[in-house]
Amino acid sequence: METTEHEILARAKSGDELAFRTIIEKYESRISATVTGILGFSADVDDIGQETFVRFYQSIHRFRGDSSIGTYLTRIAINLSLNELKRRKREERLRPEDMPGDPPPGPRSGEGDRAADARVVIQRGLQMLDPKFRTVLVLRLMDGYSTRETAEMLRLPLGTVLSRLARGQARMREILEAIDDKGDGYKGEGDGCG
Amino acid sequence: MDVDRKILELLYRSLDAQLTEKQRRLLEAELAGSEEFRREKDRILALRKAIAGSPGRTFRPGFANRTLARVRSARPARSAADLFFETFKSVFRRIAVVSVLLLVVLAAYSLTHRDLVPKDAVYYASDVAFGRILQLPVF
Repeated sequence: METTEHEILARAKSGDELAFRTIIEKYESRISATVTGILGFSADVDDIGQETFVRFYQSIHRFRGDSSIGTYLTRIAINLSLNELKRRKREERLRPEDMPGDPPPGPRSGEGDRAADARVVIQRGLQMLDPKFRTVLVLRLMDGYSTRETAEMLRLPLGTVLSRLARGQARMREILEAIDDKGDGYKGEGDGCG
Repeated sequence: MDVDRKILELLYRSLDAQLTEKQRRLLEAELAGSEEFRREKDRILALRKAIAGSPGRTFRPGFANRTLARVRSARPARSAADLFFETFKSVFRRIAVVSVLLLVVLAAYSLTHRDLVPKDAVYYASDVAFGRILQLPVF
């Protein structure tokens, strides 16, 4: 851990609110990517993001710095996001069939923002993926963690992470191709999707 | 898709892990010999690039302020017992440090001046007095 992060952490532990704000501002985009990747673009994302930092604050005295603050926060964010997915699943089971949940936002055709559209399509694809594959793809490909770090964070064997990565990507391609067939804008060839 | 499943798995694996020399040679041979397989690799790379570039949104503006407000409200009120323990700990720590320092000074003094201070003066009793005490019926 770099010295400045260590100092900020020490100040935050002693109750310095400004230091804790520095931590929030430094890691909010990373946590946003993780939570959005797992939960999609929804109103809960902000709430889960806040809860991640609140949980970190409450356990800050137990944090010994064995891992980086970013990794620790990401682990909290993953757990909270997976819990939220479970809660949604329970709610879906209880919801009457004629009341479908909120559909994921569709691509903004006509706005000319192809990059933003592609992002929306990718997010839709991710939401259709089994959470066990989705989490691995988000951590490895979106957040840029190594396969070893991903395995440690999810407490999975490295082989399982590699296998889920491969299967997740293959499944994601099938999903995106299906979305593309419906004319929603994803192009899987070359650089047409970024 | 005609690409052999095992070779495809190897291709995926090559993007996230180190292959053995044998696996690497097999994959290279396959890539060199199959146009379709090369296209497949390009598609996979494009997908990975698209996923990597997809987080386009961050939290709503003012996220840090909202979070800090929530942190303040979630801050647990400390009980009277906790407060007493904290105060006791901080006071005791100071006393303990001063006491240790004092003991070190006294030990150093007694070591350097050991010949100057007679044993009787230390114990306020001579060997004879000790002998008499030990002969008392109580013992």
